[in-house]
Parts: sequence; C-alpha cells; structure tokens
Amino acid sequence: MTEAEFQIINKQGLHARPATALVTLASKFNSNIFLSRGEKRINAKSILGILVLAAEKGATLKVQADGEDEEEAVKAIVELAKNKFGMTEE
Amino acid sequence: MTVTNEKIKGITAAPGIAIGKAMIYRPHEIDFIPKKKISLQDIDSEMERLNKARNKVLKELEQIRDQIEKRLGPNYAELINAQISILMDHHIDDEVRNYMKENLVHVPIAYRVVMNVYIQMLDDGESSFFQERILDIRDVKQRVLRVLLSETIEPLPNHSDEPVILITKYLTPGDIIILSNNNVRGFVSELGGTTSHTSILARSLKIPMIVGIPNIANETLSGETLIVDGYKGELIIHPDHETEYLYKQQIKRLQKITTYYAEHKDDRTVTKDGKSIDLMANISLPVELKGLKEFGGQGIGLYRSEYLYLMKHTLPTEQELFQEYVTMVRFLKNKPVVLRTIDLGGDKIASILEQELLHEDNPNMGYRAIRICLDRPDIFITQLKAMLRASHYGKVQIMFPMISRLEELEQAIHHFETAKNILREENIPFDENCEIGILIEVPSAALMADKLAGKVDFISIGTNDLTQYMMAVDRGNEKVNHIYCHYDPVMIRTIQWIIRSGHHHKVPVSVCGEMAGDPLSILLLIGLDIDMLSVSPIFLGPVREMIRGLSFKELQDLVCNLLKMDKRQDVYKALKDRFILFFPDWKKRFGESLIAENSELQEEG
Repeated sequence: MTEAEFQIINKQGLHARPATALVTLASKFNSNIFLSRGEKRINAKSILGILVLAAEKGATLKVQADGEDEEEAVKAIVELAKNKFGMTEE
Repeated sequence: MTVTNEKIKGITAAPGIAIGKAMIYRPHEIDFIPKKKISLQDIDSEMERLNKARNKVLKELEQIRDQIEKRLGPNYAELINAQISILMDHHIDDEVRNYMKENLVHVPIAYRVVMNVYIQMLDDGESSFFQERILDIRDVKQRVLRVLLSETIEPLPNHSDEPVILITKYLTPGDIIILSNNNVRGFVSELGGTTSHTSILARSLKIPMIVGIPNIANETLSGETLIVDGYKGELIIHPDHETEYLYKQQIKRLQKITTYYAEHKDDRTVTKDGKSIDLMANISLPVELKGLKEFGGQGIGLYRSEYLYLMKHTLPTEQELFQEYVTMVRFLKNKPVVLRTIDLGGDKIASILEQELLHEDNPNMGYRAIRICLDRPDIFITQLKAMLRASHYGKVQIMFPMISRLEELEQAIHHFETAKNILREENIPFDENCEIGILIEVPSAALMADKLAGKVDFISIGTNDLTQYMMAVDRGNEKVNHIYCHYDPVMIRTIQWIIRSGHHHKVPVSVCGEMAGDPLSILLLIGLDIDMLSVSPIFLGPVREMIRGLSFKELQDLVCNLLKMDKRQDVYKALKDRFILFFPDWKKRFGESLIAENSELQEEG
C-alpha cells in the first residue's frame, strides 16, 4: 500500500469538473485507490464518493492505493491536485 | 372540483394567455415505490434492469444536453455533464447489490437507498458549498427511478393533443426546454422569481408563466380546466363558459396583433412629426435573440452577460466571454450592441471567487458591479479584453454600471485603456473607436451627469435602480413599495437633468429600465427628448407602434406642464389623459395587454 496527503488548492474545491478529472485519472490504474478526509473514506474511482467528501479549498485529503501500479497512481493523483485538476481559474 | 372561476393571484413571470387542462408535474419527487420481494437468483437480472434504466436516462440526459447547447450555448450544457457522470458511476453497484442481497428487495428500492445515503452524507456536511450538488444527485436518482417504475408512474403524457397547463413546485431552465416541446401552453410554479433564467426562457419561448402561488402543485387540481392570465398574473381555476369565451377571444386578438407587429418590424421608429427615436432590445440570454429577429429593433441597448458568471462555478475565461460576445455581435451584423460590464452583487461574486461569503447588511448599497471591478482589475480586464476583441467584428459599445463618482469613471477608463494596450501587445485586433458609456442609476451620478457626460460617448439611465435609490425604497418590500413610482416629479426633474447634460456634451441618452416599455413613461421620456429606448424583445412591437402614433411637439408641451406639478398623482393623471387622447382605441390597438397591462393604467389610483 502506498499513501500520500495532498491539499485542494482549487478555489472552487473539488467540484463536479475537477472531481470528474480525478475519477478519469484514477480509473486508468488497476490498483484500488481510496481517498479519505477525516472519517470519510471513499473509492477514488467514484464521482459520487468524491462529491461526498465535500472537499473545499484548503482541505487535506489522503490518497491510498493498493495494487501493482500503486506508486504511479498515488504520484499521478498528487500531481493532478497540484495542477488544480487541470482547471484554469481566472 | 365544484368551485368555478376561482381566481388566484400570483406574479407574472412571462406574459400571455393560455387555456388548458391542469397537469401536475413533479419531476423531482417520487415518493412511493411499491415493495417487491426478490430471491437471491434475481439479483443479476435486477442489476441488469438498473443498467438498462441508466442507459435510457443517459440518452435522455444527452438529448437534454444537446438541446440546451443548441438553444442556450455550451455553458449551460456543462451542468448536464455533471449529472451524466453521477448517473454512470458504477462504483455504487456493489452497494446496490449488497443491499438487495441483505434485504431481498427489488432494485428501485435498493438504488434509492444507496443514492439517499450519498445525499444524506452531503447534506450533513458543514459546508453549504456542496449543497447544490445534492440537486444533481437527486435529479439523477429521480430520473432512474422513473424509468425503473415506468409501469407505475405516469410520465408526462404527450400522447394527447390536449393543451396542458403545467403546474409544478419549481422549474429549471432544462425543464422548460424539454417541456416546451410538448403540448404545454402555460406554466404555473410555486417558487421562482420574475428575473430567474427560467422566467426569461419562458418569455422568449412565449409561454405564459405565473410564479409564486404556494401549494398549487396539488393533485386535486389535476385535469381541471385552467386559464393562465400572464398579464394580470392570475390563475383561473375551472372558468365558467363566459370567462373562457372571453379569454379565447383575447387569445385570437393577441395573435393578430403579434402578427401585425412582426410584419411591421422594419417600420421606422419616428413620431408623427418626424422625431426619430432609436428602439433597441435588452438581452439577458442568447436565446432571446430570436425575438429580435421577429420584432426588429435597431440593435441591443443592453446586453447583460451575468448569466455567464452565474451558470458556471468558476469565472469564465477571456475566450469563453469572447465567444459569447462575438456570437452576439455577428448576429447583429453592424447594428450596435451595448455590452454592460459585470453587474453582480457581492454575494454572487463571493460564491464564484472565494468561499468566505461576504456578509453585507445592505448589499444593494454594498460591494457590487463597478465597485467589484475596480477592486478586482484582473476580473475587469479579462472582461474588457473579451468585449474589445468582439468589437473587431461589429459595432460594440461598452457600458459601466453603478458609477457613483467621476473618479470611478476615470479608473474604469484607465482599465479600459490598459485592456487595449494588452491587446495591442498581443497583436489582437479590436475597434480603436469602440465607444464607452455609463449607466446612471445612482443619485450622485445623476446629479453629476453634466460632469460625467464630458467623459463618455453615451449615457443610459437605469430607471429601476435610480428610482429605488432616489426614493430610498426597496421594491421588494411590500410595506414600502408604494413609494416607488416612475411618475414622481423628482424622477421627471432627474431624468430631464441627465438628458440635458448629455445633450450639452452631444452625448445621446437612452433608457433601458422598465420605464422604456411602459406606455405612460414613454410619453414622458419622449417629451423629455430621450434619444433611445431599450426594451425587452416582447415589447419591441407595441413600443414601435406607440412611438409612431405620438407627436414630439405635443409631448414637449405636456412635459412643460408636468414639470410644474408638485404631486405624482397629478402627473399620473395628466399622462393617462394624454395617452387616451393619443390612443382612444388603445385596448384594441395594443391588445389591452402587450403594453397597457405592463403599465399602471390598470391599477387605478
């Protein structure tokens, strides 16, 4: 199992569009990937799960991956968050 | 129901008359799911049912998305994409499956339970930030359930040819688009305001709509004959024969008048004695351009592009804004288009920009419109650049709202020049002679109109806000809204001063508020030598017809008398008498509606 923490820097938080970008990326990996925030832990390949995290700007999330490509998966997701999930703001 | 001719008062969201059978539309709630036990072997086939239902809903949503995109543009369509990804989230399948396994109930119940868990989790969240996503999830859930239960739930019956009045709790713009393709002749909703996008859509699709009638979406009404009087804002339940007959006559008359307006859309807007008045349209959504095509008009006197900011959760980019503006400008060919810079309040902007909601005790006098723009030049310049880029493709004029001091105007102009410089550096073409103007809606700006006029190319008067601010009265407040009045002597003096100041500097002055579409106010404004009126597209026809029947000279004399009056009642009476003198047949001529019901003519006193 590989894990890492990252922060949401998008002003709009993890809203519908960034959440979709995250699901799309997570779904490319074979590993099981989970995101957690506080007590909530959800499947990173599920948009409903991600929305439920209600992660606004500044929220810290933990990503955990388990499987053959777990390291790449965690790295890619942290990277995506750093890039504001590909959203261009302002 | 035995009551006949019961009249219920609501608020007009879209004018017009419609007669039809009541149909209760409740797309957002399915309360009852019949219980059905299953055995373990059925689980696979139940899951198969769910997937089939999903695919059906997917097609539904894709269709909605395409229609919305076609009629409203891509920004609206994105809202539907979010729903599609929620619909196609297969990661809840295990949960649905497990629930069926443990409880041996059929899939609609299991699916509902699982989706409700997600809704509940979001609902519990401390942040209100994600609340609106709940609506998306709920809508998807209801759609899937409707398909799953198609045997038990009556869908919208478009099989009958009978005209229908749709009664509902609330309508989304998407609902309107889809439903307007059915036999729906009118809308009645419990919630909603007159300026919501739904109302604007109903207006541009010419479907009468009344909002603000509590508890009307009630099954007992289903199948009753209803009349929606979108002029009086009245719903008539089970009318007697005579009432129905009279309304049918009125519909016929209105159709005739509308055809007449469309046929005369190219008539020049000149008074009988040769004074030419420009007649333009106010536009809030691209879909309204249709009205312009149908009823003419010399251009767009006010384009409010706020919806671009409100529909998305992030700020629109320069490119997105440009696309929107350029579509508009190209559509108008070389006719002028007045683009107004952001006129949003602090609450709206905060929800777009930052999480922390700015709390203002008095938002109407707070952080809004040009004040935000001057505070956030990044937002302002992005918009100005997009507007300037569009100016290359037609005739664009840029207007700054809420200006209250000369310094603000100077700052705005400074940013305008900066935007131009950036474009020059980027080698992007724009109209070097792009004109700028101000919207005068604050009393301080009205009084300083002579100074402000020297700095701009045109002036527009925002009469709704100006009247509110002049009299310090909130129109939404029932306790005081009787104080609000366009015919008050103070408004005549103020408007006269603004128009004179403009003309002194050879700057044209227009009115783009409600006054421009109100018959009595039109007499007043033309008498005061207004250069241009900008009205909602549905008023283009009647206002043109009206202008052509007036005499500028006589109105100038009338205004001289009005200026001597002390009280608004006297002004009102004088205007009304003159109106009837000009148009003794006004009821027949304007269809007692398109124009006159819009005014205070109906509300004696």
